[in-house]
Amino acid sequence: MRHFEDNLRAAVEDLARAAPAMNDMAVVARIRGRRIRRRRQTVLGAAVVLLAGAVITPYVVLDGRRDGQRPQPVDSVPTSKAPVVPLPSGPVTVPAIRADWWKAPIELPGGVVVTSVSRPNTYNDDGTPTFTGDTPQDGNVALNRLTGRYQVFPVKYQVFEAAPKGHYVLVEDESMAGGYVPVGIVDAAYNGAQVLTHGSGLGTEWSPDGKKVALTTSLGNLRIIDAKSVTEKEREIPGGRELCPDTCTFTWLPGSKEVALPQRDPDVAESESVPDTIKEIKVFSAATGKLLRTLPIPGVPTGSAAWSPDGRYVALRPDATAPDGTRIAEVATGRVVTTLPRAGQVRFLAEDQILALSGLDVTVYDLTGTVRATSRLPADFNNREVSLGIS
Amino acid sequence: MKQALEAEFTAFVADRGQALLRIAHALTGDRESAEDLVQGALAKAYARWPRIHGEAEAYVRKIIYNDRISAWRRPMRRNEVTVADLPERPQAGRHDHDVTERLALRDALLSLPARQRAVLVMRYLEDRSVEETAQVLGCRPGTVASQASRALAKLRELVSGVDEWTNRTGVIR
Repeated sequence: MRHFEDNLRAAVEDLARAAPAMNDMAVVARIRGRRIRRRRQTVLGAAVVLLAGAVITPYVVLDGRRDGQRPQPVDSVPTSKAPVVPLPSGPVTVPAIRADWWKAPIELPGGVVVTSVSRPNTYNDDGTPTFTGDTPQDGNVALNRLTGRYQVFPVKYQVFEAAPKGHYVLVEDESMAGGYVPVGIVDAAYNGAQVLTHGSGLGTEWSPDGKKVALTTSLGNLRIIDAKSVTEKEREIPGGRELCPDTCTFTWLPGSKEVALPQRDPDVAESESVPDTIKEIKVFSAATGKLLRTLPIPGVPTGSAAWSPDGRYVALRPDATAPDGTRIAEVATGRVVTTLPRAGQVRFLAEDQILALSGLDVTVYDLTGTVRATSRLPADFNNREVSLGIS
Repeated sequence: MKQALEAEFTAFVADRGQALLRIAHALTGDRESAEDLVQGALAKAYARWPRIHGEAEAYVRKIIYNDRISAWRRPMRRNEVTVADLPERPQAGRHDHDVTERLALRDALLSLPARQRAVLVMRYLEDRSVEETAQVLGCRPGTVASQASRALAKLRELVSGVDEWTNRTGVIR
């Protein structure tokens, strides 16, 4: 008769033997791994250059025609192919940032505001996290729009990304992990929190209006999470993964009704050592998943804030043609009008101004690539993920 | 990432992916959770591949275990089974005692706290020493021994009648 430990060993082996057959794990791991790497690059970026104590940034005006313009989003991207010649933009006002930054909204040029700052996401070589703390200096912090102050939230959220508008925060709750880290929504104004029963798939994106999150599933389908009710609907995107490039996530277009999914060029051989060549971007209805149109854009949008408010331009991630640059392309034609230095986040301020965040450095460019203003986030933000929105 | 490193990552997943899935499934008892667990660990490994590729398997295994049993994690109930769900108590003299006990143990394993289950998976599936288990789980060897002891006691409690068949005490040393 077998003894207890033998039967225990057999039982554990039974469990292991029931494991599913491996599928395309390497592909999905790559996509998710690149997302992790991008996050690290975003927070590490230019953060190696620290200005100790330089929390107060001087007021900067590079020239004097306009200041603080608030972009007015359009409902959808126009398809006009009229050629455009970029012109130098007007002046940019850079508000000062106070030393006790958590006591008031941090304003950046163009009416942009810092909506949240994550805990430091740095890891030891053995994969264990190094972060600690529950203070504004090293915790998960979101702007409470009711009080106008930043509030500290539990450190258990490994992802903490406030919406660009409103009071919701997208989180990934490590404390609930059971094979995956579930995504959820935290209400930064009223402190409620709910998590769903799945992870973040291939990636998540806040809608510009801060009411919905687009989640790209591992199969390339679109799942829309309603932030208020924390309910979701999935839309099948036929062939969603088929021509999906290295960065395979839906991003929103201005208006929060449509999402974009870049498609790689099937005629160009794939290489894992260089980013995929993008042929076009497909635009789908967020409500139905229906394909609405195809845009001849040769790159992957940097995010949902990548589109100019009038829908004429889009900022694109680095690729083989510009490995260290953020390309600004015309939506209607795909023509690249300028290339800016690589940045962690890019956000259009107005039709002709772009805010780029690289590490702690904030730079405002115009469409000619000229720097219009600079600023710097507090040193407390080093190695943390910063979310931007509209004040 | 350079082509050679990419190829190395692909080969690693092809070579070791199934073995890692076996560990993950023993930890979770759930196919989907096992896939998510391994995929999450592989994604973290991919993000740091140039630095960790020399010790990739150890790195990924450690993440799998630690992602499952993070210190601040609440006990997961999704895979737990109540005593009422356990198979019928085996009767002495029946030919299929061992099979019945294995089934009961398999279900009982899934009701253990994640850390205790991880200790048993490392010790009984991977045949790791107490010291190796402690290293992966980031705790002291004494903690591994005490967790194993508690786990075995709990299993015996859940699988009634086990002691009748046990030839020796199942204590991990």
